[in-house]
Amino acid sequence: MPAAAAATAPGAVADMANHQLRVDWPACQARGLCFELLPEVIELDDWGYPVVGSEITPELLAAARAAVRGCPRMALRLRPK
Amino acid sequence: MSTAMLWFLNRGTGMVLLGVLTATVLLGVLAARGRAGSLLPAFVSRSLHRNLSLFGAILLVAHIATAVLDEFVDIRWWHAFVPYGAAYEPWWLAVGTLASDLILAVLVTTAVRGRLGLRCWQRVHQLAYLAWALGLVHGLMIGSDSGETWALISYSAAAGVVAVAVLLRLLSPTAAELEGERV
Repeated sequence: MPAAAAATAPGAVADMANHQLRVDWPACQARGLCFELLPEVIELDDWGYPVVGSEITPELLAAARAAVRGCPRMALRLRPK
Repeated sequence: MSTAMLWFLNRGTGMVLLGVLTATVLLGVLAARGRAGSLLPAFVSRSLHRNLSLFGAILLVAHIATAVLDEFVDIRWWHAFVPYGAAYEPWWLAVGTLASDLILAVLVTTAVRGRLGLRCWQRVHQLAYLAWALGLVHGLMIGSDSGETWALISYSAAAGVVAVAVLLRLLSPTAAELEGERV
């Protein structure tokens, strides 16, 4: 897709902004797929639960979406900041 | 395409389905074991589980299509969905039809997993065990190769590895249960 079309596509404004990754703690069972898919932002604590480091910049948005989809417990949510 | 060819393809896809669906179930059963950073990353085995299941679905379509198109036995297209009223081996064909109906349910619910919620999706996804078992019984009882030693070995091996994997999963603690052991 040309850059001009991408800029006018719906949702393009939201994609430019930073996003925040939230963990649904009761659902999370420390399976660690989010850490494997998004090591740029997520670290694991001593018990294997994710620690979300920073906000999701537009460059990391695709990887963050993959992590949300990849969570076997559906415990990750991506919200615009 | 000659009728004999369709018949061979039908038997062939059936045996390959046994292998592909067994591998899919194995990967699914063992998905809950292990931790991040193991030899085989969890997202790799998860993608493999997903892609093998889609490959199995395509094979299943081919398996059903060759059974319907082939004129050696009378199987109609609606027997793919309705487990009743077949002229040829009605019981064991119905078992196979039930298995493919369950597989369809598992595929559709997984496609809309985000809207269903975890609990609901999981309940339906557990029907995959039943679908796999029904598929195995269907193959064993209706398959014209079931008397062969290699076929019997394949069926026993498939049942054996899944049984072992289920035992391993039941006996091994989940990551959340390991919490107390790791300080």
